[in-house]
Order: sequence, then C-alpha cells, then structure tokens
Amino acid sequence: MLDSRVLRVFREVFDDEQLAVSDTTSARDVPDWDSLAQVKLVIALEQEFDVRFSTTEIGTWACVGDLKRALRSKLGAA
Amino acid sequence: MRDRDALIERLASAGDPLGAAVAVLGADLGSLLEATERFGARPSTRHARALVDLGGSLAARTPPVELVEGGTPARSWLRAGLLAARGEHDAACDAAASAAYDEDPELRSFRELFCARQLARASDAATRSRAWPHLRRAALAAIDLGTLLTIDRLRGKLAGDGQPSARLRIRLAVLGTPTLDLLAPAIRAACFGRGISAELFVGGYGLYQQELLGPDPRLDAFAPEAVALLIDGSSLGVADESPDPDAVVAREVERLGSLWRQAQERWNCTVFQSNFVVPAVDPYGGLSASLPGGRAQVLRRLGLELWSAAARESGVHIIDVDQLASVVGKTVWDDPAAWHAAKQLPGPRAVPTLAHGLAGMLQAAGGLSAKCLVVDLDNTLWGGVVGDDGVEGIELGDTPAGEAYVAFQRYLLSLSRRGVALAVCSKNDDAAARAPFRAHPEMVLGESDFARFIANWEPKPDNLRGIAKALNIGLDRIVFVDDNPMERELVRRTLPEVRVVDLPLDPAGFPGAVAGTLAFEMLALTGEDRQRAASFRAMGQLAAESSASPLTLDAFIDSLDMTVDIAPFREQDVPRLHQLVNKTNQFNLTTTRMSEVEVRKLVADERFYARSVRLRDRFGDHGLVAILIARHVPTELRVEQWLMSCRVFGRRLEDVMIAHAAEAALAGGAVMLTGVYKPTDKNGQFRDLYERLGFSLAREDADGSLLFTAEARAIAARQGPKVRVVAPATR
Repeated sequence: MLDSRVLRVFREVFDDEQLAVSDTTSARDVPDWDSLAQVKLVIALEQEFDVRFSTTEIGTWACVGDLKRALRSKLGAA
Repeated sequence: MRDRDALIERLASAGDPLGAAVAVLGADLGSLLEATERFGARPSTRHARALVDLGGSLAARTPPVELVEGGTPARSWLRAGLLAARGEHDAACDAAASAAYDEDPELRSFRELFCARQLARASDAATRSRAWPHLRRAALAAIDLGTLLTIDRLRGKLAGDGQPSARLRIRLAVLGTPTLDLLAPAIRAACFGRGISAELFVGGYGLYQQELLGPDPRLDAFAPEAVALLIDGSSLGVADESPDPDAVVAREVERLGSLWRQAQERWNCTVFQSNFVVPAVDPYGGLSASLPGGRAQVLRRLGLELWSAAARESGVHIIDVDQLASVVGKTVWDDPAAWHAAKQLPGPRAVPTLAHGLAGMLQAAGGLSAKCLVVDLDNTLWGGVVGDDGVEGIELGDTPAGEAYVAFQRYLLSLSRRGVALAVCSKNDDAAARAPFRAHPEMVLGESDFARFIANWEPKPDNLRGIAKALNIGLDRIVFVDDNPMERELVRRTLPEVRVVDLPLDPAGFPGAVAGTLAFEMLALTGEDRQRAASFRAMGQLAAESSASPLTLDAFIDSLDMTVDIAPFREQDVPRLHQLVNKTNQFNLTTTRMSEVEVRKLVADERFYARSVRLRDRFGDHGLVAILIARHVPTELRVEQWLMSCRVFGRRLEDVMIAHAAEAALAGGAVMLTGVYKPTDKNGQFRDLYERLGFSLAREDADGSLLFTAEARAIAARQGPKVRVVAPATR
C-alpha cells in the first residue's frame, strides 16, 4: 500500500502516468529529478502521508528505497 | 467475527485510517461499510483521500462490489473511489459531488479537483469541458501548493476542450531573488481561478537586476504587461546593525525606483513590487526592532518608504508580503529547510498565500474586483430563523455567537462605506425579513444600507440575476454569502460566474471567509469608489420605481433632479479618468484603453474636446461617471472615445453629453459631428446609440466598426431630459 501511494506521488510530481520506480531508483535515473522536483516531492509526500521531513533526512536520500525507509520509520513512530 | 468490533474501532480512531483499512479489507465487506460510517458525516480531507483509495481497491474484488447511492459523505467518497477505479468518471464525479460539505477549503478544493480530474479523463470532449468549472473552483479554494501545481498541470492538459474565455489575459514577468519556479505555476493556477489567463515569464534565481537593466532578448520578446518584483529582504545586504540607516533606506528606495522606471520605459508595464518581511529569527532579537540601525527597524522603514515612493509613480503597486507572511505565519513563510535545499522562498506552505495575493492584485488592476455582496439573513446576519423565532428570538449580541453576528454586520457596514454595494437575498416573507432591521436593538445594518432587499420564496439564482440586472453589473461582480450549503451549491451550479463564499460553520469566521476571497481587493480608492455604494442604492431604487411604472420613465428621469457638471479634463481627476477609461466595458463605444500618462496629456490639449461628467441627483452624488473625447478637425468634431459608468445608465445622460458636444462643435466653427462605434463582446447594447441620438450611419468597415455622422446644429437642438447643466459650452 505504501509502495503504491509513493508511486502515485512520483507519477503526479513528474507528471508521467507511466513512470516506474523501484527501491533502487535514484535522481540520476529520472531526467527531471532536480532540486526543484525534490522540493515538490517532499511537499507531495508530506501531504500524502501527513509527515514532516527534516533537512538532514532529505539530504541523505540516495534512492527511493531510502525515502520509503524514512517514511516507514515516521509512520511507525506515529 | 470476533475481531470485527476491534477492527471497526481501530479504523474509526486510526491516525492512519488507510493502514487500518487495509487490515479491514481482509474482513467482510459489511464490516468495511459499517466502518466507513464511523468516519461520520464530516470526513476530513485525509479521510476522504483514504476512502477514495479504499474504494479504488474494492474495484479489484470478485464478485464485483456494488455500493448504493446515498448514505454518509464517507460512503459517497468510498463509492467515488470505486467508480473512478472502474473508469466510470461521470458517475464518480457525481458521487464526490454528493459528498458535498464545503466549509473546509482544503476538502472543498480536494473535492472539486477530484471531480475535475474524473471529467478530464472522459473520452468525449463534451464531458471533458464540464471539468472547467470544477477546476476553477478548486483553484479558488486551494490552500496547499500540491493542489495548485496539480490544477495548473490539469489546466494545461485540458486547454482547448471547451475552455471558457478568460475575463482578462495578461503577460506577467515574475522576477526576483529566490527560485521562482514553484511560485510561477501557483500564480498561474490562482489567476486561472479568478478567470485571469496569465502567461508567465519566470526570472532566474537572483537575476532580476540583469534581466531588468541589461538587454534581455527573451524578456523583450515576451514584452510583459506586468512585472512582479519579488525581492527578499536578506538579499539587500542590510547589516545586523546599520551605522547609517537613513542612507540605507534612501539608497534602496532610489535603486528600486530606478528599476521600476526602467521596466516601465522598456515595456510600458505595470509594476508590482514586494516589500520586505521582517525575519522571525534575528541575532539581535527584539533589539533588531528597537535600535535605529537594527535590521527589523530598517526593513520596516524601508517598507513604509516604498509605499510613498510607489504613490509618487503611476502604475507601481506594492505587494504587501510582510502582511501576507504575518497572516500565514512567518515561521511558515520562512522555511529554512526549503531555502537550504532549493533557495525556495516563501516556504512551500506559504506559496499559495503569495500566489492568491498576487492574483487578487492582478484582478484588481484589471478592474475585475467584485462590486456587490449579496447576503442571506437567517443564520448569516443573525442566529436563528426570524420567521420562526420572532425578532426577540433571534441571536444577535449578548451571547458569543450573537456577538459574532454583530461583528460580521460591522464588517459589512465598513465594506459598504468603501464602495461595496450590499444586497439582501433571503427566503423569507418580506415583513418578517425586515422586522429585525426595524425592531432589534443590536442590529448594526439598516435597510437603507442595502441597494436591493429581496425577501421572497423564488429560487436564489433568479433573485441574483435580478439583483445584477437592477444594479447593472455582471454576475461575475457578485459575491454570494449564505450559511446554507444547498443554496451555495445551487448558485455554484446555475451561476458559475458568481463568487460563492465557503462560509465556515462558526459565525466568528464569516468576516475572514469574505476577506479570504480577495474579491473586493482594490489598488486605489477614489472619491467615486467611496460614493459607489450610495449610487448603487439609488440604482436599486430606480430599478424598483421604473419597473413599477415603465410608461412614465421619462417623467421619472425628469423627477431625478439631476445636476450634470461637464468639465474639461483636470489634473486632479486624472486617476479617476484613467480608472474609468480602463474599467468601462459596456457603454464604451470604442473601448480604447489609455495609460495614465496619455490621459494626463489631454489636460489642456487644445486640439481635443475632452470632457468629464459629474452627476448629482436626489439620491446623492455619483461623482465622475462619464467621459467624451473628441478631436477638433476642420469643419468637424470627431468623437473618438465615449464611455459611461454602468451605474448611471438609463437616465438619458448621453443625450445631455452629445448636445453639449454639438454646441462645442458649433462654437468651434464645425458643422458636422461624427462618432465611431467599435463592437466588442460587452458593448453590443450601445450599437444603435448614435442612431437613437439622431445620427446616420455613414460607413461600415471590414472590422465591424461603424461611422456615424450628424449635423451639429440638429443634435444641439434635440430635446433632452430635464437637467441642470453646469458647464461652459466652449472649446
């Protein structure tokens, strides 16, 4: 369920209904994934899951898997 | 089954209802449906979102799940999700619409966006085109950035499918110090909600000076009609403590002023300049504001100086970002994480506030501000139902809610004093509706504060049309305030042009809800604006009287006791003249727009007969309401522009004006009077004006322009209405 919600957020932010992401997908793999898209992504994830991310967390994401781990730990803690 | 109650309990109280619902999905459908009812009649946006997801996952079930219509909003959302996942877009939209409950702007924008997306996915263009009103309302209600960005994307994708024509098109360059790429689509969406089609040029991070001063071919090609300059206070290099604060303030005002002039010289554009947000966090703390050279004190002084500097220029307006930041909260406005990650300012959560604020200013600059607020009575101006509870039984004053209604009435009274017309539209017997105004001691508003007082049992959309007609304004100039969600929904659906306020349940929030629409925002306030409410009241009465006895309209006009003051253009009238030239759409025979500079040039230009008209009558002073500009050419006076405020239509003021022009023509040695009519979408009702005034059609051009001529002597001799004219009939 978390996977499908994360995927939906990615498709929305990158405006690509066919976009596929796996846990190993990183910013290098998605052409439009720049610092601005990163901000959009954070906003959209924060809205979707009702959480807040810190600068440190955002800075350490190397791939989608990292992002999901951060999400899971927040949701679990809530 | 043993777990059923526990599951329902978990779902109903879950912080993450979706996660809990996943668990329930393993259980039987009956439990699931029962559980959704526990979300109650007022699901939050998060619940609605979760329910849509849940409904979507039901679509994969075998045997197929069927959900009947009706039930709580929670059930409707579940059904909407199910239908959406099955591709039944139209039905999904209807299901979401039946979950109506719109007091919360976030949920309202979610619902409208859901409907718009469903309709936008339909295969036929006719259904897709029905997405527009939903999308527009979603944009008006949207308070979060993600929603605005989605709306902007959907708007782009839908473009072409029966898109309603824009009230205003504008090329806006957004330049400044922070990254502006997130702000730009949000501005476009906020403008779209207000019927403004904004084409944007987005400046580079920190490049505004180069873009404004250097030759920038891209910007020149774009030729902005408006430039928004968003300059972050921290970019000014104001020290923690300035040794010479006066010099800092003077330097910055001078520097920004020269940028404005540069922009205006290059593109003849309107400039919107942000002022400066005093930072929430300053190393000097409170000292920053108390020390003469403290950053906070310098930025505040600079802000005040900017207002004065802008007032000295024409076409420069200040975006009060310090106020916007205060309203949204400076810790939200200034989001250090977003700044460090992407040089984003304001913070993502504050971007919608700025986008709506700027869109509201563009609306005001385009002359599209609302003019009339139509208000319901029961549970809107007072608590309770006067028809049932009696004058003594209504809640007004005394109790906390009663005080809130009094405060709302005070707010409305102040609105009317600055030129907003008020009207009543209530489902009531007329006598019952008027009783509190006559007998309740706590009433702030009186019957005479309303331009129209409509209390009957007719459908409200019909009454709103009647009010618009009586006041001679478009439906898009009306804001509708009603506590009843069903009335609001009916008006939204039947009169999409009317701005319907999402009124909260608590009357304490009514003034904030009206203010939040920004519909009555204006960039300047002329004497005429202050007079306008009185004019509208006169018009309302005029409409009532003239419909009562249409045969005696001329007699009625004569009885108005009109005094018409026809004067050459004067320096002190330039702001109002400029406003009238650019805002008048109906009685505007050539719809030629002019800059303030061009208007000013007509003051004392001997080649022109340029006259402004002021009107007084027994209802009050209407101020400067009409303009006629004609050019003296040998043997002829050629009327090039003629326009009149819609507030004073139907009084034969046009007869008085043209007769005066004819006399001026004769005095100047001219024989003929000529006039041009150029058709637009708005001025059709004045196509035959010249003919009605005794002119003959001389020529019709390919673009539809009509040229009329008449002998000046004949026009001057025509019988006009009975008025007192105070004006010299000279050149």
